[in-house]
Amino acid sequence: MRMSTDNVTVLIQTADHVRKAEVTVPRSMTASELIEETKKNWKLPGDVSFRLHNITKGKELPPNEKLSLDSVSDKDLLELQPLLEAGMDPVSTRRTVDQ
Amino acid sequence: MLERYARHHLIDWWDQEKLLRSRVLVAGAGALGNEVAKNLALVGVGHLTIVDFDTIELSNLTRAVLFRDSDLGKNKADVLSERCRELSPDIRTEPVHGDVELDLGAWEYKRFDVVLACLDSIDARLSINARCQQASVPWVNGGMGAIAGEVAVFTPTSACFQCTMSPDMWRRRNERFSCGWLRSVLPEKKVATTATMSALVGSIMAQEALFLIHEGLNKVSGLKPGHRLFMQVKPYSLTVAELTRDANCTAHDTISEEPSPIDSSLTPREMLHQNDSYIELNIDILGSLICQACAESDQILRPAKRYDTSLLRCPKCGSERKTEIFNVIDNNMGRLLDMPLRNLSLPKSHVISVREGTGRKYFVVKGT
Repeated sequence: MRMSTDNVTVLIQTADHVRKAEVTVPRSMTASELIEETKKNWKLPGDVSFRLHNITKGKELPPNEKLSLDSVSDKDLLELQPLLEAGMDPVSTRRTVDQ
Repeated sequence: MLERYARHHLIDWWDQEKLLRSRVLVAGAGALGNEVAKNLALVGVGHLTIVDFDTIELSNLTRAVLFRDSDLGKNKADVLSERCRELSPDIRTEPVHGDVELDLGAWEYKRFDVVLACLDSIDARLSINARCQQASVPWVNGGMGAIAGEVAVFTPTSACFQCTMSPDMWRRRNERFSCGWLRSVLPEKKVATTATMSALVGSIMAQEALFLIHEGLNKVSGLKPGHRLFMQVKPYSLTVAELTRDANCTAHDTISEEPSPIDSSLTPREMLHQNDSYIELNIDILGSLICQACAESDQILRPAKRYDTSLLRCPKCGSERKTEIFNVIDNNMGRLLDMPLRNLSLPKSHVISVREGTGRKYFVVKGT
């Protein structure tokens, strides 16, 4: 059977491996759009940003680029990894000077 | 003095004298900053500059290894600097009670072999990224959650932090500011973290700093430049991803020549020699706040990020005031032309540039 080059079928999972699914998506989709779609379908927290790591290829997918033949192949494993912002305790407000 | 580090001499690639000569900036003195600074002090990194604008609160004590109950209310940078000297009396430490962007200009960053970002926001990381790109200094980013951590290494020619910014990350970063680039007074999101995660992430960040000090920008040990390590403890997993450098990324604005020192008493008019020339300030300045209801304006002339949106409310009538923000000065800017640069409260050793036709000349402002 001839595979369509307009779509790509990938395995996508969360970093904690709780959610995993095989999905077929158009190659015209950007990594960022795939992340947002996955966040919505899996009801992931809206106040966390995610990145998409192509585990099979060892590369993070650039957020604004399409799922090209170079960056994603059929059956590649993509992992949704949260952006980890903390490093120090957040404060309620920043200082304001000279008011 | 080297006898203290005798065990390190058993490591074939270790150069203790190189470490003792090295200078590292630890940006942020919270949980990660404590771990990073502790490790670098113990191994004998000779000069640590620690910057943080905050003071120690009770909640810090469950994660910050070098803070004590008796430190509550004290400046984080001061306490961490002092504790690092206690751990390793041979090293020198320099606390900076201030902000990584508003108090340290690009040429301050040039003093360092490595910068370690132990921060809590996308915006602060973007600031470090821009400064390090300008000054061609490598930096290591760390971040953590309750069960996960990440470390990335950036050099001037690798992918940078901004290259990896998604529309969602930009949206969340911009939510922290008003349309006039004043800081929002909305409470920041609280992130769950633990001492175990800060120890894991901080150790890897310090290890990457050691590799960078020993091997320089073309390091081959540990993480390659432009790569990010992501680790998870539930279940255990560790992955490394190569990041893609975006050829159109606006952060790749390296200072291409040694900037000429200028005194902050200089005025823009003294720097602009052609009609079409202009000064790039490389920082957003809040020029004035204008109340249309009162028909009055307050001159501010300081970096916009020093203020939050509470300043927008007119003290006389309560209406929301408009902001006048600028980041360039050209020959049409009237009264600003004869005002000394020091009036703008630029960061220490801040680099500005003058564009004349196709030429660009860099200046580092002294005496701010």
